[in-house]
Amino acid sequence: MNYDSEELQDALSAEYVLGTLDGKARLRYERMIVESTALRKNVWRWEQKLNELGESLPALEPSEKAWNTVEQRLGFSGNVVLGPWETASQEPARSTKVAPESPSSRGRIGVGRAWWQANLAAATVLAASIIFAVILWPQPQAPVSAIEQLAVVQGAKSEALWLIKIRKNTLEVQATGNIAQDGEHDYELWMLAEDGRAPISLGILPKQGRDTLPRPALFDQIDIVALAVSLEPLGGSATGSPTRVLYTTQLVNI
Amino acid sequence: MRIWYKASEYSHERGSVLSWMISIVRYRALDMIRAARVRNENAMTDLDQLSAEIDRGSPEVDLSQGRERAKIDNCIDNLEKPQADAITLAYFRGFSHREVCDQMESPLGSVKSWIRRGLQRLRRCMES
Repeated sequence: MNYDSEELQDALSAEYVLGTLDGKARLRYERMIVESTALRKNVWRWEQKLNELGESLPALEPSEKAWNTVEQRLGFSGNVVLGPWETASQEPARSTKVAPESPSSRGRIGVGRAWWQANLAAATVLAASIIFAVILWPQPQAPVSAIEQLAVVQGAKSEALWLIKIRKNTLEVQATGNIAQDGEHDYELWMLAEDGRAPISLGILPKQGRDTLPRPALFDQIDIVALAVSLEPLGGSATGSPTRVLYTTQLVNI
Repeated sequence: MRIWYKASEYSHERGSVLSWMISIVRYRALDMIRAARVRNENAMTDLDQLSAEIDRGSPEVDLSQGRERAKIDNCIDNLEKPQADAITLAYFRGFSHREVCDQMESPLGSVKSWIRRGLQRLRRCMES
């Protein structure tokens, strides 16, 4: 397929945002989005168009249970609890408020899936409420002025794995308690350049606690499109290239 | 959770803050829908319980009645009805092409064409 065609890129971006680009094609396109600024901007343009559908939905207050769960999972109160999608025995926190009582002929989708479908639009509404939390909740204390950039490496369930603070001469890495303690492998951090050159190693990440990695001169000489974390033999990649990329994340300017 | 962790990634190029947040939440919800589909394809489900869940209905219909009119609504009104229906089902219910087919009782090729051409017309309308 000729992905260079502007028309095709636009069509794929539109269906990616709509959600009808599915399965392996979706995963492949997500990788292309990470690599291409032009594609990313195309996707953003479609998000702005199609999300007008969601932006004008009526506001809906999340339930207290949902708020408590979010607070706990972010570490603002109490112990971490599982979300409704992580245990079959929990009742969904909020479904009846937005779901009308009309019959449906669909009979092949499952319970978990039906719950998410019933809540897709509701989730869109929920986003409006969450912004207040983002703005109003206290930020974790840190010497912000000394940090130039920040990155959070997240796992498959959005759990934070590493927090990376980019300072003038160093990369300060904080491991969270969510990292699998694998005694036979190391996790290696890489920077991915926009010009398509091979990934450049930034060092081995700590599996627990903090560590400080040197900030290479190249860090400031190339446009970094993303950071990546790979699973490597102990001591790091033997080939100079990532062996198995597990996660990617983007740098955020402070 | 994702919005919290990604809060400082927002830039004006992403459009309005709300649009950016909606994208994060929708993509996550789509992941959940698709993951649940895979799980359910590998396991029998209790039909009574399933029916109760499904009977919660069609959120896109309910919510569309409570929405304020936006420019995109006028553009969707200008689409052919099957195009508008297919795009609306995909956006609000997270349906795949195949599921839109089932819902609209139409061939896969037609549904793909409606969505593709509908999106093209939508873009032209919204940029005009």
